[in-house]
Amino acid sequence: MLTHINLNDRGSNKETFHVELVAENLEYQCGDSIGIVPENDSQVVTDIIQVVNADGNKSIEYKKERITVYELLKRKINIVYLTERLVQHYSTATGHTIPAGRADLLELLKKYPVKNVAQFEEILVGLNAISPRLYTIASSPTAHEGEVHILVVKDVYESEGKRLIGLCSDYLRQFKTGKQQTFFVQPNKRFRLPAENKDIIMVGPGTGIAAFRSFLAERDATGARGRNWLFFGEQKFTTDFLYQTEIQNWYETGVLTNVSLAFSRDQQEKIYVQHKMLENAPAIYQWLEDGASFFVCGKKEPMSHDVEKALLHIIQQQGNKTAEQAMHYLEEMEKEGRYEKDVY
Amino acid sequence: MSEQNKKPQPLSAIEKVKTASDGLRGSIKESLQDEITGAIREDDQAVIKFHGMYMQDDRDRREERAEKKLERLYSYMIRLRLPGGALSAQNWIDLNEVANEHSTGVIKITTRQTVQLHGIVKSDIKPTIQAFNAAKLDSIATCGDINRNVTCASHPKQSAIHAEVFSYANKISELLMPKTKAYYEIWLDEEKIVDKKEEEDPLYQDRYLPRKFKIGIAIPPNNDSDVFTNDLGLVAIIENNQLLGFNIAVGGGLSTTHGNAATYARLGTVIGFVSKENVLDVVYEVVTTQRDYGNRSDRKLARLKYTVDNMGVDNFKAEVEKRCGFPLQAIKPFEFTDRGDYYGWHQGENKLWYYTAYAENGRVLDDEKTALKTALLEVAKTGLTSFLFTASQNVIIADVKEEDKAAIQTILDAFKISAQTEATSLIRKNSIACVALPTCPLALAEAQRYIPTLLGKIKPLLTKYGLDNENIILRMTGCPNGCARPYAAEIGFVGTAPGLYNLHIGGDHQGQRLNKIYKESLDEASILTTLDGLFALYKNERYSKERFGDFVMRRQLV
Repeated sequence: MLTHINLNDRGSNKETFHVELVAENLEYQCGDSIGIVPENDSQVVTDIIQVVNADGNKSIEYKKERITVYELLKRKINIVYLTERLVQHYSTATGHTIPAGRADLLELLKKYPVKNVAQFEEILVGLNAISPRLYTIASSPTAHEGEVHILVVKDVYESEGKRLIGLCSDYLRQFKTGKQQTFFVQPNKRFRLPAENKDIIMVGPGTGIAAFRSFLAERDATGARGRNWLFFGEQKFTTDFLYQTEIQNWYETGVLTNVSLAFSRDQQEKIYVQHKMLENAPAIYQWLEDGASFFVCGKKEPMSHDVEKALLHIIQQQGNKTAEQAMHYLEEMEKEGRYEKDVY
Repeated sequence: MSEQNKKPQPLSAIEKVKTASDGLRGSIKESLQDEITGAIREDDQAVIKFHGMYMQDDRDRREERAEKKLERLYSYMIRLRLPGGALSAQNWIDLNEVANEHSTGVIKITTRQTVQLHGIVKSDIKPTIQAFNAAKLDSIATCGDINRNVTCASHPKQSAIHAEVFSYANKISELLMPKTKAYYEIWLDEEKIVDKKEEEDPLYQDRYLPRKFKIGIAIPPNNDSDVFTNDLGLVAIIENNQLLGFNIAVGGGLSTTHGNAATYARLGTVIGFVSKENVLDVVYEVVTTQRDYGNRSDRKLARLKYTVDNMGVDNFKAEVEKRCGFPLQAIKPFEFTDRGDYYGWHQGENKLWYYTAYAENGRVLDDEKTALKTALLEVAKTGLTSFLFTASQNVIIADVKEEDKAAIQTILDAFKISAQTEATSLIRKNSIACVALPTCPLALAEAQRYIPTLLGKIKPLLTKYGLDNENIILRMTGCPNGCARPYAAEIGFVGTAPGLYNLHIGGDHQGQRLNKIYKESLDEASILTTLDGLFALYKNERYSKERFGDFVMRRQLV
């Protein structure tokens, strides 16, 4: 791990971390993701072991593998924000009556103690494995040789009045420079830059910008001739313009032909990327007619749907088409690999 | 003639920006539409000054923002045009609202009797100006190479004809307004005028002035407006309660540049008297003379003071007289005995009452000490007063009728304004500081943020020598440009680097003699030791009632 920086300024509602990892000889392409299996908080793990008075060094069997209790808790199983089903399972196993809902393992162990260590172990092996988190790569193999960058938003959600932080984003956020991290590359064969002379339109609000930072850095480094148009959106211009200075540089040097920005909370009415698309309808349609590829990266709901609706509207209105014809036009683009989504 | 003057020097870059600006339009409209940045284009940064605003950035945040891949935290300062510093109660309410809506919320009273708002982001400039316009307020020509806000003696108790003198601040401001309609076009969305003749400007032409131009008016015996620090100063001459006219002082100006020996602070030279009927002609022609003779190649040597000294005072005067078509009369005698504000309640000759409240560094806000901002808003809401700002950055609650005085006093008590004003030490009341860090791009050291602390340490030294009741004028700036007039103070601090200040002493109390540099680049400890020594000397060796600045000069300390 080289560095991690919160790109949002003071006063923002968000924390979005730009994370740089050193990865010599790593093979990946723009558009790929990396998968990271997060680890649980050491303090929480120690607390759990203490609460049940277990031996962290004791070796037990988990999924046909011998592993110490500590390692199991630290690296293998999810212990935070257990699903309702697992909480129910805990209730049955321990014989406590527990109200329906999600909960952390530590919290359960404190409130509804296990009978003995054996019961604790039985519960542990019944828990889910930690699943890897996928992050779209924000770097370019050409521009950032020997490194891989990702963008991690601190995932904060409310549950029963409690403020919870996503496991992986919290894990990465607390990362110390110099720490080792294993990850794997998850290729995304469809989400690829077109030929270097082809134009691209990129719609990447929020962390969706990651894929397009990769695209732009690559096109800049390789001197690709195709035009590039970026749509980016966030809450506030002053605090949330992710990679602002890099985007400014690409705009000044001509790598970016157009930059369209939507900051939803800078004015009374909410303005999103789809609104900026509609404002630029004629030019977008002309780019598509000239063979541009259209990429969307970011939140599936509601962003990618709103963007698709706007795109269909533009095609229909600017191309004097019926709704069906517009749909067909988009389907054709999809078939040609000119309409690609990386949404989550 | 010096070598320099023989061949014409190339015009400075800003001169080209002005003439190419199409009547101060530049590409401001396009700059506003650059949504990728909070900044405006470089040339426009010079042009918007003429519209009363500066682009600034929070210098404290530069490094951190750069790490975050965010550009500098750009914002804009907008300064109102308020000749003589007058504002109606309704306007104060309007201003308060605009400040809350679009700026940091702090209303800053300036050393030129106007107010400015800081921290306005690019997309808020137009709404701000439009809100001001709805309140019949504007920011035209409050910055830039043009006549700035005209100042005038603030305290109506000084003279029965204060109002008449005051009206000249307005007349001069109107006389010297630029003719371009760019301000209305850009900020208020008025239609672009087709016929350029409508905005032909015989005064400013297309090049405006070589540098900023400041005009102030004083009414003896109080020089509260620091009249001689202006490019053009007017000293009202009053006999038998009649305004006769004004003595004219030219060539004042305080800005200097560290390490540039050709720059210097200068107080205005009184060159003659003119009747009130002819005064506007003289004002106008002093400006045209500066327009035509001022240095347009080196901005550091472009103020009127250098023009006057280059031409020679007599030649300059002769040129102005030639342009006027009449001679200036002999200087009328006048005497200043004071320079500062009259705090608390005072009754004007017009029988109305005036309350001068202390505003630390001119910053109107609610903090742990006082709720000055809320108090003034409540006062304004009574509709029983108007407001005046002083050149020492204080606020006067003005034109209060005898029967309304109690109601105003109740508000001042409720928000502890009276208590605060009374409790503030004389040294604080006689001090001013410029904005400096973090927003001023010129600042080399702190000023406004630091002076309260420093004064807290100087005060015990005065107490130690029984000097608490001495009116000593103390001023601080974060750079040598002199916005808080440090060279015209009895004790002046001029920032040279973070935490370091040149100490200037020996200015007189009335503002008619500049101080001189005494010690260079002192840190706080050295400042305090040095002042301790000076105060001890002053205490032991002063004549009765001798002012600190006069003592310093008599003892030839500088």
